[in-house]
Order: sequence, then C-alpha cells, then structure tokens
Amino acid sequence: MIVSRQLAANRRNARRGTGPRTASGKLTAARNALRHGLSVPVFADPALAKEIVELAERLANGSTDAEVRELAVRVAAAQVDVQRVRHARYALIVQRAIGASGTETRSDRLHDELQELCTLDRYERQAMWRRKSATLALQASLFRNIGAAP
Amino acid sequence: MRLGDEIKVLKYMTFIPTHSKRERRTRGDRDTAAGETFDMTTARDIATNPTRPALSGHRPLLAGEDGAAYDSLLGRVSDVVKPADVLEEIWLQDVVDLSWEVVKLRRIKVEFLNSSAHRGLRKVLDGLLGWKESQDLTAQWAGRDPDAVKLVEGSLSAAGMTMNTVMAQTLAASINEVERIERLTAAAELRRNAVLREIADYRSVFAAHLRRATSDIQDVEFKVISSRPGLPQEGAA
Repeated sequence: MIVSRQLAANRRNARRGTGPRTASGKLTAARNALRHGLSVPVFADPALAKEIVELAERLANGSTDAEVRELAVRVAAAQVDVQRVRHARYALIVQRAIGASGTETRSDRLHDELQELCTLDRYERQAMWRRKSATLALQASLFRNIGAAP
Repeated sequence: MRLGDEIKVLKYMTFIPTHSKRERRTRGDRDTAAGETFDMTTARDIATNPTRPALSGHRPLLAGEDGAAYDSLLGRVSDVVKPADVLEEIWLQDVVDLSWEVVKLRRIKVEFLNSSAHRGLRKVLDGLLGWKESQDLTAQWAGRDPDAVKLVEGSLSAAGMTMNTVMAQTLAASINEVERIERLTAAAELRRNAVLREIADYRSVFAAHLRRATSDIQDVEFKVISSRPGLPQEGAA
C-alpha cells in the first residue's frame, strides 16, 4: 500500500520527468506530429478532400440513404489514409536511395532507416484497421437495403 | 446534402476538432496562412487545384522497377478476380500492391546480403590471415579484383570453407537489418492475407443476402393452386 508521502513523491517526480521543459524542447516536441504528417487526420488535409469526395461518391453509388453516404465517406477517408501512408513510405525509400547514392550506407544509418520504415508500417496497419471497420459497417448498411428490397 | 458537406458533419461527429491555436501555429508556415480557420469549403477550393499528385492510381514502384510488369500483374489478377464493385477494386489493388511489396522486400534482402558480403568475408579472413591483410584483401575482393577473388577462394578452400561460410557470417553481422526486413515482409504478407479474407467474407455475406432476398421474393410470388375445381385458391384474397 502506497503511503501518502510516497504518493506525493511519485507525483512530484512524474511532474519533473514529463515532457520537454526548455523553450527549444517544447518547440521541437510541438513539431513532432509534422515529421511525416501521418498523424494528422486526412480530413484536416485540404489537398486530400477532393480524393475523399470522389471515392465516396463512387462507393455510395448514387445512394440517397444518409447512413450509406456517411459510411462511404468513412471508408473513402480510411482508404485515402492507407494510400497516404504507402505514398509516404515509398517517398522515404526513394529519398534515402537518392541520398545514399555514391556513398556507402553505414550499418547504423540503415538501421535507423529500417526503424523509420517500421514506424510507418504501424500507421498503415492502423489505417487499414480503420478501413476494415468502416467497410464492415458500410457492407452491413448496403446489405440491409438488399434485404429490405421488395 | 453533398458528400463534401457530409465530411464537414462527420468531422464533428468523429470529434476531430478544427485546428487549435497550437495547430494553426504549427501548420501556419506549411499550407495556410497563420491564424486562418480551416473549413471544408476552403478544402474543396484548394482541392480543385491540388499541388500534390493524386494518391489514387499511385503505383508502388521504385527506381529500376518495371512498371509494365506491375501493370501486367494488376491486369492478370483483375481478369481472374473480376471485381464487381468499388470495394472489390480497392481490395484487389491492395492485394496486388502488397504482393508486389513482398517480392520487392525479398529481393531487397537478397541484394542487401550480397552487398554486405564483404563484412562476412572480413570476419572469416580475420581468423585466417590476420586483421591487416584481411582488410586489404576484402577491399580488393569487393572491387572484384581477379587476383583477390582467386586468393580468397584459395584461402577459403584451404581452410575447408566455402562462400556459404561467408554468407553465414554476413547474416550474423547484419542480423538486425535482416530481421527488420523480415518483419516488414511478414507484415505485408499478413496484410495481404487479411485483405483476401475480407474479399472472401464480403462475397459470401453478399451471396447469402442475395439468396435470402431472392427466396423472400419467391415466397411472396408463390401461391398454392387448389386441385379441386370450384374451391377458392389459397393465397387469393
């Protein structure tokens, strides 16, 4: 059982050790999400809106059902997210390949690059999971309409 | 209601906030003027003149990869699977992309090991010839100097070793990198298999719904005709 003195000490230590403290550290941490921009929701990226709308229109297939249309937007957004991650991964590989030309790639550098690719892999896995979940909901909605048809 | 407006609605439904002060500050120098409020009307206006290439239709090709081979693979798989709707098209593209990636990663692993063979050779020659001589000989061997290649082969066979020994040492020296490539390959394979399962589930559930819907229609249409003339038919009002 933690006594109150220990609890207070734990909280004090946690406050001391959490997050950047200097101004430059805070500035760096504030830009973490912009490193590759993949943690920014696709809805927040204006350039992707057109692709989401076009794909959602195709998925909705002229349906006027509000639920189907909403789910179509979800699937389209998730699909664009998957493509965005893949695009970022290929861009990273190409960029590193160009950067490495003419020089020998050191082992530690390659190690970091592969680590970065594995990190991007996590984003793709999450995006695909979102797409699967949205797709299942869209399918259920579409199939309910088939079942309700005369 | 247009889909663009629905995105706006969905944005609030999914609790994705409009940019906070901090986001506006950090995004300010990237794509919008500092302090400008983001909304979907602006998004559509910007999206109609995109500065970036479209993501859809993006082919996962690296330098030196054959675009025609990728297109051919996509065409052949499309011919076999015959996607029935947009969802199936998305999945099919995924399966092809992920299969392409698996092959590419396997090739990358082989090429990586071949290009790192000098690391394994240096380790083997260290024990046979000593540090200094192994350094020089490995460098010459990596440059494919014919005398060095012959000398290396002679040294290995004299010690009862082959290039397999060198490749084993190379693998041991590069195990971290190889392990990461393997992990990426396994992840791509898992994803491809998951997509294949999604297609199979979708088709079976769709078929089941179609069967149920068509059997309902048949039940409605079905009438029992009386075998005795003069009696009213069952199902008739």
